[in-house]
Amino acid sequence: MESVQTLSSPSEWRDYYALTKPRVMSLVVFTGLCGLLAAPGHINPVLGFTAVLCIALGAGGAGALNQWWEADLDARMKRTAKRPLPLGRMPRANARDFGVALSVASVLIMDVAVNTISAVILAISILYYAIVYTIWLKPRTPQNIVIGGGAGAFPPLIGWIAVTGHITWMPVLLFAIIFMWTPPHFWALALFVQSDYAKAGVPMMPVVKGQAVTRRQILAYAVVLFLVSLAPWWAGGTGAIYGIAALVLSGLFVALCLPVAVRRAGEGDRMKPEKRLFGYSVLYLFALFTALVADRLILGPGLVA
Amino acid sequence: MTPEEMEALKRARRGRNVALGLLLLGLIVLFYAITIVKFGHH
Repeated sequence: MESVQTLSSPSEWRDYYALTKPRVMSLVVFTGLCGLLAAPGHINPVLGFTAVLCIALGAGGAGALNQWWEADLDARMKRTAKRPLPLGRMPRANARDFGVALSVASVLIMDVAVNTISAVILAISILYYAIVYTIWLKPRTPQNIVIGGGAGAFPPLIGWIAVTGHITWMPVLLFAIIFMWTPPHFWALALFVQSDYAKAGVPMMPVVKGQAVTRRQILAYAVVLFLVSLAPWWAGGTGAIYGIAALVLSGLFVALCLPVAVRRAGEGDRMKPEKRLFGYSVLYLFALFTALVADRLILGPGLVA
Repeated sequence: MTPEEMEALKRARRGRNVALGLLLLGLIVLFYAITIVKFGHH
């Protein structure tokens, strides 16, 4: 009925909601909440809720800024072409202002309600994602996902520090787990949407370095992830519930990376091992952090302190 | 602007206003709760 148009129907609240990348946010809220619940000490439930809300608002703001900056890029990829800005559902500046407003509000509320160090780290994570990753490094290096993963790794760290008020090695290890998890998670996806990134000119690993290197690096990161995910247990920061869960979950992660690492996909390949790895990687993170919280709630601080 | 477009515009604007209203209401409740908790501690 209607073709591509620059002025689309008027923007609805759903368009602003879509700017916050709700699906990414669900993982952010979950890992942030897990960091908060697994941390030693207590936080008032209202303030704990506020901390998670601020982490979510900050992630939403960063997501909106990302979409503001990448509107042209998103329009060239099938996966992102239906986002509000490529569809012309609002003026581009509105996305920028919305992103800035959410980001600033989240940091200020965190500072007032929780503590300053959480607010500072939240601010760093937003700037890191919106500027260091989106504007600076994503268009420049095939290691962009490794760097971008850093932004996604902040929520459990912030959740933990919202409770304790200071940085210790445990929240840093939680950061490291997501940091190491992101590359295999995202490159598995990039392997089966490869052509899209090539078309848009983003230097994704499979486009620049080729399949073989990408597949090898997926496995390399998975092995490091295996070790890092077990570190909290070895170092005595958690009990056996987490330790055994990490052993099984990370072992399976490496096992699913093996066929991906040794395979070569030709034209018309259905990419089943890659899709399976990507699907499992999401489940993995949810399961691992659930185990972390279960460990803390069941075994309690007395047994691991 | 046709009457249909006008109607769509009004509907979208009403939706955005309701969403913003709920957001502000939520913030009021949140700040009230935070204040109670903070005063409770001191």
